[in-house]
Amino acid sequence: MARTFSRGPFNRWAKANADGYHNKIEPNMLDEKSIARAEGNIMNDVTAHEYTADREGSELFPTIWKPYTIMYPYERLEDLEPWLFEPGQYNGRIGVVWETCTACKLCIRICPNDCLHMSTKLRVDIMDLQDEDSEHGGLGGDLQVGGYAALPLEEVLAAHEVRNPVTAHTAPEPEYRFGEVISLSGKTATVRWNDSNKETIEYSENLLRGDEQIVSGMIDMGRCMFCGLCMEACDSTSFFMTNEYDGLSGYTREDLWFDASRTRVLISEQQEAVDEELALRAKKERAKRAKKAEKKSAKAKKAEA
Amino acid sequence: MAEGFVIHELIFDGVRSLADAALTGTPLESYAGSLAVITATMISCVAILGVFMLSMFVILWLERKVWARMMDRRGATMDWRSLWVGEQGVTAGEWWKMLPFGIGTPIGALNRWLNKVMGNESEHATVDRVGNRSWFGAWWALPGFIQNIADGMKFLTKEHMVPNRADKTIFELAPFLIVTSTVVIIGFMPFSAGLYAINPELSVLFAFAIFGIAPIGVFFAGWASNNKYTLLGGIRSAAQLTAYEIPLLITVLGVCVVTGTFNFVELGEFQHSSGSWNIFLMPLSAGLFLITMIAEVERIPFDMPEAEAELVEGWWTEYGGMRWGLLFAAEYMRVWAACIMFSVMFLGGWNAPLAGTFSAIPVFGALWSMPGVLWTLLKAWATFLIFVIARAALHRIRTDQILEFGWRYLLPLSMFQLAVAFVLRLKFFNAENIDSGAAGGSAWDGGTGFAWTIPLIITLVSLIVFTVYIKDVDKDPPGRPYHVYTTEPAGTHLAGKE
Amino acid sequence: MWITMGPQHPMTHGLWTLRVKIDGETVVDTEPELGYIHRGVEKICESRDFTQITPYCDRLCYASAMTWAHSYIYAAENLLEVEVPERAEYIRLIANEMQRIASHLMWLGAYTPDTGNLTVFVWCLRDREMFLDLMQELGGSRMHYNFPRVGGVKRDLPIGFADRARAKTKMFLERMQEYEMLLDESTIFLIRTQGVGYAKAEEMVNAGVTGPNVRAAGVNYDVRWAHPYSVYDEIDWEPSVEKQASIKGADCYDRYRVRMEEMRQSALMILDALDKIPGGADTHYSPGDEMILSKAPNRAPEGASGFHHFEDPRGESMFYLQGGGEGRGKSPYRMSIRSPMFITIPFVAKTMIGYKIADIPAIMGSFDPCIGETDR
Repeated sequence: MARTFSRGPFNRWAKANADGYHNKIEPNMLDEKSIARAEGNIMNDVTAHEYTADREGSELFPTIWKPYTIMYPYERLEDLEPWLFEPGQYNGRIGVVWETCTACKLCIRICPNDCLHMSTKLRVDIMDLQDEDSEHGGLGGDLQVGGYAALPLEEVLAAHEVRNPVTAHTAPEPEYRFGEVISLSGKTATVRWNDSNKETIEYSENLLRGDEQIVSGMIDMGRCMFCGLCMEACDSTSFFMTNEYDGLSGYTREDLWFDASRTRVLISEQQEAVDEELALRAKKERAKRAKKAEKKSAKAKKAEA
Repeated sequence: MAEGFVIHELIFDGVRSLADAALTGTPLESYAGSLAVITATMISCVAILGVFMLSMFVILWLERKVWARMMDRRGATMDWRSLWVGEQGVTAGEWWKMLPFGIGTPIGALNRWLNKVMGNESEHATVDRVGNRSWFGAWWALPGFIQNIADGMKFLTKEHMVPNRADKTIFELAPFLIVTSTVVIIGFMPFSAGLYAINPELSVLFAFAIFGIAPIGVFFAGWASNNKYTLLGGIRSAAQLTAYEIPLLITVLGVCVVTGTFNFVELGEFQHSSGSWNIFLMPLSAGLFLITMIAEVERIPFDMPEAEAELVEGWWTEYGGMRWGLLFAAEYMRVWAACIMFSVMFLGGWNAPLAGTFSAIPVFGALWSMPGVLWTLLKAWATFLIFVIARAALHRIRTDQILEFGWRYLLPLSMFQLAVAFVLRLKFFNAENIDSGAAGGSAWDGGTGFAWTIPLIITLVSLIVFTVYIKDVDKDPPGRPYHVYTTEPAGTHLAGKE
Repeated sequence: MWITMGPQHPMTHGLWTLRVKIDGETVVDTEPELGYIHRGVEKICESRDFTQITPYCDRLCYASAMTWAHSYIYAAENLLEVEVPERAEYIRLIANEMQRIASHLMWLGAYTPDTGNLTVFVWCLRDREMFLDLMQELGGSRMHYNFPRVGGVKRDLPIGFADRARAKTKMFLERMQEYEMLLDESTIFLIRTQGVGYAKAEEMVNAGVTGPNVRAAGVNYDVRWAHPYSVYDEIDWEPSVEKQASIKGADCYDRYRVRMEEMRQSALMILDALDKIPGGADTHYSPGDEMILSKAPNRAPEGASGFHHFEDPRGESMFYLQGGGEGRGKSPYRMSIRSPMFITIPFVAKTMIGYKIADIPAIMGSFDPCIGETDR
């Protein structure tokens, strides 16, 4: 009865006589992280659940109130039952934050089906992306002759701010133009761009350092059985199984070979995990530099003495 | 009740006068009469076919929607989905742009306007009713009629295959027999006292005779497909249809005896002028008619001949394209014809219930006196709902159980009902009280003044007998709440041990 | 004449062929042909680590993936000599019983359309969705969960899971009454399933048939009851056994009733386990915590062997693992699977002799075949 008359003027009466988990007042959150994540999320407001995709229905008017069928693609289950799609709990499409991948190959070793493969790619390292005055900033590397430089593309960065990954269905565009650093002088750098093979001179402060990173992979989604072992194996928390289940189709088997760009997950989408990893690496780097500084000062002291 | 608007006569008179006017003075003058008759018959046949088919689309919709809801407790079906507005204004595809010469533009404009006026573009709203996002939220206004027409057109595009070693002539002949015999029946179906294609003296007899040609076509189809499964399906079907023809015909005979005529239109009229619908007078007949008709049109629970679980499609398996489409349509045409026959023969057809009383009420009375054809259709649609509920709720009965049921239970019951019909007509029928006026007569008053004496007694007795009969008084072992036994337990016919 | 039912056939519940010799409408002889979806799982697993084998075992019987993965994991734990924490055992019990309900609902949803009623199909799948959603929360996907690990489970009950599970299970118990109302009071269903498909208890035991099929004939053998593993001896439940109604054996109706009763018992087990779980059903330990996963070795030396028999919704499944395989013992040298349906299907094929063709789906369906586990 409470379920049937749970709308409109009967709402308060229904809450007082609620059973099940519809119309329960507050769910039980254990720690601050869960509470914070649940706040503002419809999951926390159980009284707003009008849809019974969980098929509870209404016992008095079963044929009137609550539909059982979700009208995909206009309605999506993750909007209606978000507790089924907790980040990290759902074995959806593989997604990798390539910026934090250290190429340790643990995922390749654990995969039962041999569907992960690796190659390399030019990237901007994550330590180089931090601002000088941010928490972990100032610990990146500098431009080197013979190394790579990256020029940020403003329009692409702006587009990424408003990107909705669930409905985008295409890979995010690359945000940088890469080029080889030919020479450095004072504030400028001569760069031979990879796409045009022309050499230009740019201000060094506009460029970021680029690295050839051994983190590009091909994932054979045709073989993948979505067991989630790779996600558990990844130490540097850069391997995720996203909540996506769309867009995994193709006309040929080769279409199902997802390359790095197709399996990419933006840093902003997994900011939490990336921040964890960042803190870890920054700690290590700081410890390294502190030790180096100590050693230098110890040597200087010795040299003096 | 005398129909004010006799379409049949209108068509005939109109064509006659036209023919006379057109052909006067020409060498064809003497043939004007026969030409008029032919033309008028064709026109009225087409008109009735149109009414029949349009009203038949309603039953296809009823079955899809009502059954779907029963099965899924309000699972939504897709109907005008392509005009849906999804998230962020996405539609399922602006199909109207594909129409040539830009004729789809007004459709697009209409869609956009309707969405603007009645739509709702919340991006991630949880849904309370699936229909609340676009103007399609007016769910009651747009049923899925067109779906079935689209399906019919789809069948036209499918390939027609004849199996390799099939008997080609018979294979092609069988759907012809089934479909034509079904469509011919439509000619006899009266939709009201004035709306019919043709009305011979013995229309009931003729209609049921033609109805019975279909089993031959079914058997031909099963045999000629060169397929063991269709053969089994055809054999089962022939046995089942034959077994159920006889109780059907005897039941109908009973009704005709009580009514005193073999004419459909007079059957309908009789129920008004005698003061009581046949269903109250002969409820057992009505039940038998429904059961035998469900068996005749091979719907669940009697659809063993096409049992999907074993025989895929039964005797229809080898037919593709429009031949299958026509057979499928023929099945529903037979169902619809059965429903119309039931409504005319038992539910009073085009007569409004209690017309005399209700028509007097000011506003409601005007609605009550709507044209007879609408009453017939409403009753036939309601009858179809019984067919749908039977299909949704019941299992398939095994062939030997079906045959046993037909021969050993329905046949004696229908004979009994025939005897009752004789007694009713000879003893209790009061011919002087027949009254074709607005208020009907009281031919079944049995000597008392109350018009509904006999039907009331019969209905009450039938209800009591039915209630008593369906109570199960067997004592059963625990865990086995019902003890149902077939006369011969399955498995006794081991090979060689008859 | 010989009729071939399959391999593509709407009734056969999986990919196999049943050749039937008929005399009119009576079945005179049958010949099953299996092996269409043999995927070589036993051989594949000889070159996989113990953790990597779990998703393969999910796919043995896809209709009851959770129970097959657990069946393997118990054998692996037996081989590697691992102690499983009690909370993990309770979580496994809850997951297994949910899978049992889902599997039986799938059975019912496939069985009633065989006898002609298509309504119950949709109802069963609707209710099965409730349990699939619960298992999705546990395992990450709706059908192949990869949930157990050697030594415990992948992760703990999510937050809010206990509330949802209780609400859905109670709702399911109410829905069971609807099913019984529609099916047990339907004369047609009764005449289709009673008196059909007699299978004697002695013959079944001699043939090696186990599970609900043999319990329908009065044989009280449920592995969870007779040789309790996990925490089945701490939960309040009873195996469902039907006294056979005729000396000719158990008919299809008996097997149907056994499964209905089993579903009810499973639902009660879930509710009981949620109350009794150590640590409480509302606490959530992080993955890898010692309450839900204990440390386990990942090698088994040559000469070691592990065995476990498990009550699958279809019967008694057994896994036998021999240690000392590839990678110096990281893989099993041999994995041998005893599938209950592989034993039952030939027996069932002989049961059908003497009945009508129309009884074939009724009899076949009542034994609940799943060809995935049959062919491995």
